[in-house]
Amino acid sequence: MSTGAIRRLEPEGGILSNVVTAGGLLTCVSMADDRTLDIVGQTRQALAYVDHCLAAGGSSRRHLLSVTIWLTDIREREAMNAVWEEWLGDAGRPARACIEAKLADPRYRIEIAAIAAVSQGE
Amino acid sequence: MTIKRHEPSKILSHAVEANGFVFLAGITPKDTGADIKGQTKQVIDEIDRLLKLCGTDKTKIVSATIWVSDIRYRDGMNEIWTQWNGGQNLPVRACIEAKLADPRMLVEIQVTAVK
Repeated sequence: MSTGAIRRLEPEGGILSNVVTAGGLLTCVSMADDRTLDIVGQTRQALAYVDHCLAAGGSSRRHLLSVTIWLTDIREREAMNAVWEEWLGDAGRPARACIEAKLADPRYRIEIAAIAAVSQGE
Repeated sequence: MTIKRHEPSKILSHAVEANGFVFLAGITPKDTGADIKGQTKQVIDEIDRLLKLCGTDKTKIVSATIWVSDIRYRDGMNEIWTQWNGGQNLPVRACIEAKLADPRMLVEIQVTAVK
């Protein structure tokens, strides 16, 4: 399989790209903009940025393959899941893992990493 | 690109195929009364089942992430891991401590394979 070009989009702070595409796949990472929000608000913001990243790389939430979700407090999983389900709607479900971890700033409630198929041509 | 999703629940699919890759969900043990070795065995059996469902097997795993609820469980988990793969066809792997969805769960493993 040819990997083709590597596209690096949405650079952040000189340390990372929030979106990279290669070989027909896209990978992206997302956190909330407003770290004062609760888990519901932060999940909504983080998922909105996932949408933005997917669109930037030529994909969409319907093309998600695998998602990793880190929560500052695993007890907020149910509240996060409600927003997650609403956001996915009737889109096919990606494989997923959700675990608790300390994030970059203790005010962050959620961090998301996703792998999606680049949908152009489908 | 065709995407094939296996055994979906409300929140996730247990396996997704696309572009020659197979992505499995983070797999957790069903019987959380078992010790770390027992739980790891359950998880690995489920991974074997899902890989087979997707037309591949453990020799084609390229990447694994393992979360243990206490990093001191790493040795017990590794014993079962090595029994399973025989030290052959080893994927890249990361193993870290994390709190899992249910405090009785001691291990969760997520793998990516090719077909």
